[in-house]
Amino acid sequence: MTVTRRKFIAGSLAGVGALGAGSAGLRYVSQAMAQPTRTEQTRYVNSSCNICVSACVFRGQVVNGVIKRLEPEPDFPKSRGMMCARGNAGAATPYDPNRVKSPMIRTGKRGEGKWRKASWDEAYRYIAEKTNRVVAEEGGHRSCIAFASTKGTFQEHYFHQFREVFGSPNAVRHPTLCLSAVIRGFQSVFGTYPAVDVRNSHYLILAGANLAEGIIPPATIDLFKRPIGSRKLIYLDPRFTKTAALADKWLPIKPGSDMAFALAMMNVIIGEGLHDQDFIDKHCVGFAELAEHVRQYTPEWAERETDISAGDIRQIAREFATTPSAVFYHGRRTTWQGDEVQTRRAIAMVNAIVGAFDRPGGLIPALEIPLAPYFYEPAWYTKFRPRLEQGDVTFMSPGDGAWIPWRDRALRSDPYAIRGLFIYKQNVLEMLPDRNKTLELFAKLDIIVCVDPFMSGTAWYSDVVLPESTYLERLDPAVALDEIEPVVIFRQPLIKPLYDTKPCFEIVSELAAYFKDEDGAPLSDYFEGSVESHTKAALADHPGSLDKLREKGFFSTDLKLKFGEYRSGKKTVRTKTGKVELYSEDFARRGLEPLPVYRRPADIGEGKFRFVVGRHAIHTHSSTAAFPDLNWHMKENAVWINPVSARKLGIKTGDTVLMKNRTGGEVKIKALLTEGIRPDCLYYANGFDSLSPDKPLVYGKGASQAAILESHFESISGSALLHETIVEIRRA
Amino acid sequence: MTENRKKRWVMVIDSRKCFDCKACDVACKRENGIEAKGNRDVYRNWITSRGIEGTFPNLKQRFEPSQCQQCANPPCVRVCPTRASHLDRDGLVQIDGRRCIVCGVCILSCPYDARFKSPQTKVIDKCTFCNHRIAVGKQPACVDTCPTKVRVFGDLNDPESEVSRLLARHHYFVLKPKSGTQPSLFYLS
Repeated sequence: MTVTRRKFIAGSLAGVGALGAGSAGLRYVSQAMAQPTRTEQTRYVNSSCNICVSACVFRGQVVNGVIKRLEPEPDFPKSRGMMCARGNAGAATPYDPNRVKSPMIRTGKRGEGKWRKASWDEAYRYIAEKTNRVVAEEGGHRSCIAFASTKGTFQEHYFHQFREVFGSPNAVRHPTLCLSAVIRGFQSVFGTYPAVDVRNSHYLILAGANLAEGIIPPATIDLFKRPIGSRKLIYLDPRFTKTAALADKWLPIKPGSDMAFALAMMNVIIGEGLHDQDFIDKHCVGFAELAEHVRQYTPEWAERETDISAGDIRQIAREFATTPSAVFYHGRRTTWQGDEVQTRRAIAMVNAIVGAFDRPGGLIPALEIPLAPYFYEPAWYTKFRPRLEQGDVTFMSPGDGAWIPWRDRALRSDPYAIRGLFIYKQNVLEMLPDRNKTLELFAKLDIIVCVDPFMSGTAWYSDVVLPESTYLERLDPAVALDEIEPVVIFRQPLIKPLYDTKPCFEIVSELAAYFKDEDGAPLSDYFEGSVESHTKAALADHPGSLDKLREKGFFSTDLKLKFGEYRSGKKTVRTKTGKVELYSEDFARRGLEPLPVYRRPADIGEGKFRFVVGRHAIHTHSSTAAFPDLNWHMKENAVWINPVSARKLGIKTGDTVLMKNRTGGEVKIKALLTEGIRPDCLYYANGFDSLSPDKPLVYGKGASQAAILESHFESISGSALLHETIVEIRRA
Repeated sequence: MTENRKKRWVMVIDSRKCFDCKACDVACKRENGIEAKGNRDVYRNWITSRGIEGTFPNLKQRFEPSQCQQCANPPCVRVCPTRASHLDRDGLVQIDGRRCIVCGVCILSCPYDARFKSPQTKVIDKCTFCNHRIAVGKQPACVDTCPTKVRVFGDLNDPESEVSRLLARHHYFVLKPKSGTQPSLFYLS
């Protein structure tokens, strides 16, 4: 049972009355109990969560004008009527005493924490003066101002509308720190990053996809809610996560060898004739080349690469190929190591050769309810330069950029100088690997503007902080979620803004009035309407849907997924050949390997460790560790180390240790000895040691991932490679 | 279901579906206005685990969610000198804060360690099965919010209820049966 409470009881309870505040307590209670009954007014407002990107719809309970609860909306298909710990804790966010309550302009040095409150007009004027001066110094080239942002709010596109009409190509968004590699890998094979029909699958392989802690509705729920024994779950991860705890088989794979596992599975499946010849003949190209290619990758070979026995690989391959609804889950964050895109291609191919596509329990392109697109006039500039890292990545997503090579070029001013950074919600300093490099970049910049409801570490190092209203105080436009059960959601305010804050659209459209385009027209001319009018326009083809949104927080249509439409030819796979591509002519033309070729990761060296990152169910990246309800469960992070390794270094649980990477990054953190990690790996949770004293619960507590991660990337998708971080550890 | 029939509210818990996400704890705290303010002793429900058991790579871990067992034979009610702890109309153990003198004997008497002193009300506090929600036809917050619906809540006196059906079909156990408390939390085995 709960040890702390027992200790507390045993230690402090001497006899009757020892705990008691007696009459004082009684008075307090009688007042508290007398109050609510008469005046209590409860209303419910449905809206959608913004604590992670999943955007689960909730029933917001507002009592006497104060948000009390965010209850799950039982009818919302995506989250299957659940609300996670983070979603529940979100109810307190508007009332966080450390919110940014008005625009702030820095008065001291960057990071010193000296601010003055400013009016919006003052803040806009300050930003415009500095920015316009810098642009003039750069000969009118607006590309010198960059725009960083992250998904999760439904107003991010307004921020990038500002960037576009302002005239900068330099957008740096989150995908290359998250799932750009898996998207690229699966697109090259299936023409899309498909959904996975977890609910109907009876055999699932998850490679590092920690669905119990990186909660992704509905996949997480569909995987774990069902009756025990109704599915088999094979889970590969260097760590014994909570997904491992619920898996049928946990295999602590050697980091960076997932491709070897996938290739050996294909070696067995094809070698033993267990592949789906009919599906391959009708829907795939390049099978002969693939079959020839994987002949070299035997399970015995893979055992040496992966630390998974040849027997296990054979058994899993056979079971996978002979279970009609088996699927190898594609994963989400895939910023691991090595040839990450090729690894994802190999996993996609394992699915393809058994026909785990367009069938129940397999991969299936998601559906999206069509909304009328949001239009605005483009601005035209004669002075134009391509984005900084244009040539560094084969498949560059122009709206996303690639953070790691972009930052390297910005540091070198190669091929041109970046002078300013506008940031929307992304906690650049605490999410990007190698915090020292990001701080170095910040030091070079003339103007840093941060739009955020909270004083994140990034906001703390900015020049101007523009406080956005929280997701419970604002209207966000309708958004269509592409899913197996597609829905449209939006956000509506539960309460009026508590402070002098604004939604992103207001902020950027007002700021635009302080800037002009090349022809001298104010940029505000490019912004029209309001979030409400945009929402109405988006829903034009769905009469009555706005009322449904206001009432339920979501709506769906008669758009329903049907299996078999790709197999019957009614729909076509969106690759160049219109087929599932096992051999990629497109890759070959671009000078990339048309089939995944395995390369063994470099030896990490004696006495060194690979640092791996991963999620925890109570954390969304760096943003929630300071929420009081969540912080209660983890007040400080600690580095996981296997006891065998720890013994050699004389490290015990609770010891403060010093970790150093190869590029000057170092952290001090407490050690946690656990059997649940490979002896060659280390791990700690995200969100701690914030740079911002305005996040007191995590300021100076534990260690930041950004401080220890080295900065590496792969050039096909531009994805960061976080697990290429090699560290030393010793007692501090 | 007739309104007058006596209810027997119970929870049937399938621990094997629990992945320790803490949604039940946070939902409970928000629902019931419990501000722990960092105090580790303040919680109405919890998930226990012996941690990761075994030696790498042969490991296992189990999670066991729990809370006040809503005993049919509750020691806390027997020992309470002021009848602050009492059985309500539905047979649920509740605390009348106005009567509580915070003697703490109930905390000692509870074999499940379900009770604590609330920093807000300054009296003894514990899980109520969200009786304010039951009264309006809702499920307790911990039941409702759970991603995998580990807890199933219902009336055991109703043979058609999900809880009755689950207990009819599955093996189950209760915690500390020897203490004679007759808990209302049933764990599927």
